[in-house]
Amino acid sequence: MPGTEIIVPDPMRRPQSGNLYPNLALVPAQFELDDTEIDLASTFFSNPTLSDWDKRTLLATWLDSIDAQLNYDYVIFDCPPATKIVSQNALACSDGYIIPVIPDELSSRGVTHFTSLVRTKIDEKLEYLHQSARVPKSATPDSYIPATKLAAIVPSLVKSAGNAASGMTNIHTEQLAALRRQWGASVLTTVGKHYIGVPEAMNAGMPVWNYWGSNAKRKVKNMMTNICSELKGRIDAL
Amino acid sequence: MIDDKKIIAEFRTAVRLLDMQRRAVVEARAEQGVVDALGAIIQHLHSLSEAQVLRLGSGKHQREFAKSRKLDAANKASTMTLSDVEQALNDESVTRLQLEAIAVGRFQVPSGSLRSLRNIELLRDKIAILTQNERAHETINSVAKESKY
Repeated sequence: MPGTEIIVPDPMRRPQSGNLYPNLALVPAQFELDDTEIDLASTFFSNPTLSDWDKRTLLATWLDSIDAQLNYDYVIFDCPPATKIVSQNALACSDGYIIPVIPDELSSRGVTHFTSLVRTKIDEKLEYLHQSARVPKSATPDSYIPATKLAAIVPSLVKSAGNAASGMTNIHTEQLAALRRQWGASVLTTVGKHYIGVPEAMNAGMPVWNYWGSNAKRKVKNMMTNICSELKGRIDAL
Repeated sequence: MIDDKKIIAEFRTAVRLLDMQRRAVVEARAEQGVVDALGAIIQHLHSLSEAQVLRLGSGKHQREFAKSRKLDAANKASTMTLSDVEQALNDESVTRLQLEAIAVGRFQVPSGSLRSLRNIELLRDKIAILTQNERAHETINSVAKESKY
C-alpha cells in the first residue's frame, strides 16, 4: 500500500497568482485505477467473505495509515457516477455523499437508483461482510463509516430562460420541482446554472473566483460561493 | 384575494345610480322609447345572478377572480395521490381547466407552457407521462428493497 508519497501538496500553486489554497492536498486519479478495478473484481484471497470486506475497505485502511483524521479537516472523493469497487471504497469511509444532478427525468432516476444502491448494496452489504467475516475491532479501519448519509443533491447545469417566471427552461422547472417533491430539503436551495464561466475556469485550471476570463461574471462567482457555503453547512452537520 | 360580496354590492349600487338617472330622464320628459329602453336595461341588470355579476366585473376584477380560482384549484390538486391523478385522467367529464390545475398544482408544470398543449388530449398525455415518471421512481425504490446483496 502506498504512503503519503501519492499526495500532491499545494496543487494550486501558480507562478502568477501565488499559492491559492495552501492547505489543499490532492491525490490525482490515474489511468491505472481502471486496472485496479478489474484486478479487485477478479481477485480473491483466502476467505471469500473476508476478501470481499478487505477489497472494499482498502481506502479506509489507507486513510488510517496517513492519519487522515488528524491531518485533514475534510476529505473529498470525486467518484464516477457508478458503484464499482473503487467507488464502494470511497463510500465505505465517507460520512456522506453529494449527488450532482441535471434536472431531467433520466438523471433524476439515477438519483433514486444511486441512493437505493448506497443503502442496500454498499452500506448494508459491507456491514453484512463485516459481521459474517467476523472482522475483529482491531482489524476494522477507524476510517470505516457503517452508514453513509445523503448530504445533498445539487441541481447542476440548469438552463436559463429569460422570459420564464422561474428563470429556467420548462423542463428544468418541472424536473427541479419533481426532485424537491421527492427529496425535500436534501436538494440544495441554490441551483447550479449552466454558465459558461464555470467550464472556462475549469479549462484554465483555475477556481472560478480567481479566473480572469470575462465570462466568470459576478453572478457566476456568487452562484458557486452559495453552492459551496450550503455544501459546507451540510457536510459539517453530518 | 377578491372579496366577492364587495364586488356584488358595488354593482348593485351602480344599478341604483342608473335607476336614479332614468328618473331624471323621465323628469326631463325625454322620448318614451328611450325611457323604456333604459328601464329594460336596468331591469335586466337587476335580474342578474351573483355569479353573472362577478363575471361582469371589471377586467381587473375578472382577471384576479379567474386567477384566484385557478390558484385555489391548483392548491387543491397539490395533495392528490398518483391514483387520484390517474382516476382524473380516465374520467372524460374532467375539464381542461381541472386538468391544468393538476398539471400546475400537482406537478409544477409552468402555466405558460400549457398554451403549447393545443388540445385536451395533449394535456392528458403530458400528465400521464409525469405520472408514469413518478411511478418509475417508486419501482426503482421497491426493486432495490427486494434485491438485497
